Amino acid sequence: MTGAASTAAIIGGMRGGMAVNESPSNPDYRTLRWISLAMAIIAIVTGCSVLLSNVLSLANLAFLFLLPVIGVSGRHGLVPGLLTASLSALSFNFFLVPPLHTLHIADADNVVTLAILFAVALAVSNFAARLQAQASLARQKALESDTVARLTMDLGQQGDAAGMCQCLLETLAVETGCTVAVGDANDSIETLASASPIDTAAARWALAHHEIAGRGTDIMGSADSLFLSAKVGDEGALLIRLWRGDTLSPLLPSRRTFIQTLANRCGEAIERIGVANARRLLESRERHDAMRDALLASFSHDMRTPLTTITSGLGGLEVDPANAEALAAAKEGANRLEWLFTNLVDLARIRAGAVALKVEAVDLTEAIASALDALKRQTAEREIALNIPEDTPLVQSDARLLHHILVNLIDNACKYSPTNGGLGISVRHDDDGLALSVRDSGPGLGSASAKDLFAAFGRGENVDEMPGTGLGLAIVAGFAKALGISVSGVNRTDNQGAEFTLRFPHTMVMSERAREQQ
Amino acid sequence: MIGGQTILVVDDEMQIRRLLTAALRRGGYETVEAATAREAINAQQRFQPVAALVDLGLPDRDGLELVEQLARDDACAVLVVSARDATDEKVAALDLGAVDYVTKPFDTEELLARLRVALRRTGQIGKPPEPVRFADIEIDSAARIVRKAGLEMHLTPKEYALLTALADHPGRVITHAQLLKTIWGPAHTNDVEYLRVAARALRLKLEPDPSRPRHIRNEPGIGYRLCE
Repeated sequence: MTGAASTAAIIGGMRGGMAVNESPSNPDYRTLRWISLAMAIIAIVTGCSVLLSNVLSLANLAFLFLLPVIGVSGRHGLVPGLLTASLSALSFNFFLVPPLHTLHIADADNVVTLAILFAVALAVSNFAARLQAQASLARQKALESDTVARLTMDLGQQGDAAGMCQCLLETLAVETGCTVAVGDANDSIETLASASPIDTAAARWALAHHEIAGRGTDIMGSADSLFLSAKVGDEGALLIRLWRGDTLSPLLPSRRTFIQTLANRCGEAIERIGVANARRLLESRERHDAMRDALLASFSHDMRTPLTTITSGLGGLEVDPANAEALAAAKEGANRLEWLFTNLVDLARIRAGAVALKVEAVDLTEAIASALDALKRQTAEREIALNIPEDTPLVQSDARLLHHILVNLIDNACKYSPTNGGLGISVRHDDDGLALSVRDSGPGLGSASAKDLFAAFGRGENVDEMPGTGLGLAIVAGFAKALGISVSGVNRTDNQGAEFTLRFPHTMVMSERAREQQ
Repeated sequence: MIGGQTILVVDDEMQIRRLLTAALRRGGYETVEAATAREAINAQQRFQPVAALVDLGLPDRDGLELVEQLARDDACAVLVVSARDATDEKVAALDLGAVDYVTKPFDTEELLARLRVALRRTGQIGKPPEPVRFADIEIDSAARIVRKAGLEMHLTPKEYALLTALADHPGRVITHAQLLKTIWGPAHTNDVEYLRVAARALRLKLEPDPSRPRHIRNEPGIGYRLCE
């Protein structure tokens, strides 16, 4: 399905979006920032509180000391928040709580104040940290869906699987900063993962389970590379390898989902062009088939109308004893012509592959009887020995095609047997399935090979003086092939003629289920 | 009594129409000809034929549609005139209400025989059931008894149902789908094997030579026909 999915790699891919979670700032600088922020706010708050201490009660002033805690823990997280809370409490205690300018706490209330400040720092920093994490995740998701959308668009512009794999490869290289290789699963395990046995094993796992495997994952985590696969339709798959020297750090689970999504998009895109190509092919074939069927039908109709006029017209003539013989000969000729024509059209259908099957349960006893009815004229004067066991099972076949086969086979047997020569028709049920044989009392097959016998216009060797074009057996062989039954011809063991056998494999022989429905 | 009944002949080929008309006249029927579906519908309304012989390949409309429309008139038996290998269209036409088919090239005697059988149906509507007899077989549907040469035969309910379904329209082909629907119900219209098994069992009980059946005749890929 993936067709020409190429194996390709970009060496030394770029460093990119993997760093989204990390802050670009220097850690020392960050510490300095929060400490100075904390000191500044605490200084301001303390100053204001001292000035207002004559106006406001101590309990109200304590609220002001929440401000530095909220500010620092909201922006810088838990630890700076807790430290700021301690600093606030110390400052409150030292400058405002009597005894002033000592760190001694005289009142149990002040212990509570300190505890509240700690609790606020904890709550605010937690909340802020969660908000920050969510925002950062949302930012990352937005970037990722941009990337997926961009890849989907790029894939849409590619005309073949190789171009699509190249798109995926470039996107993955940019997104992961890894060296990437993308290949068709059928031929790329060895090419993509030859580095070490554990790599090969990880690659096989990724393909078999459609899970990310290899470096840093739970599955063969010590491999050098990371492997993932993407389905292409029901059968095919892409295999993708990511590696970066020895330094490939484990991918975060959320990133794994992301690169898997990218790979899946590529697999789906390749499947779509495969389906589109198959549909185009099918449509053109259907157009061709429809044209051929129409041509066959119109040809058959145009030929049949005058033929029908002749045969049916002759049939309706009043028989004048003086013309009786000529009339009979004309009728016989017209009938043969009609039969020959039907066979020619049938043969054209088989050759064109235009035989539509309608498989149903068929009783061979009935099928043989109907074929004999259709050949009343040819079989009227002959002794026909039927040997069909009463318990012959039904077969799965197309009743109309089987009828054609039997009529041709029995007609052929009549043609090559003497005028009053007998025929034998038998059905045998054995381990290989069902065998239906038609025995004639003609000259036998001579040395003609089976292939010649069933070729159109091919005829047995001993039959030069016989009428016929050799179309009958070609139709038998063509229809039999369409039905999945085999046909063979041999000389009778008693050398009294030829025997043709149709074999229905046991898969076509039906069980006795239908008997329960009687 | 037959003389004077009108038959509608629908075929776009003038030669075939002439041929059919000649054969029908010889059988004592009057004929009306139509070359298109539209003409056929007009003719049916104007002349109220007792039967219509329809070729399915018409220039102006799908022949099957015409069959369905003509067959809506219960007093008109529709017969399809069709090529030997056109099994699918025969089955479709029969399931749409055609009562039988005649294969091209047709034999005049056979054509007239089929037509007589088809017309017999229309004459029988409303009559009380009476024992059906053919050869040495008698079906007493009031008593649900089948006798062969005077001896009562034991038939299973399905065998009896198949026999009566065929005997209701002696001489007419009944499609597999029609028989299966009548006997086993609409869910089983594709279970041809039930029918094959029942038909074989019935032949073993009723036919003088079950491997060369005279009465319960198989039409390959189409259905069954009861012949006397």
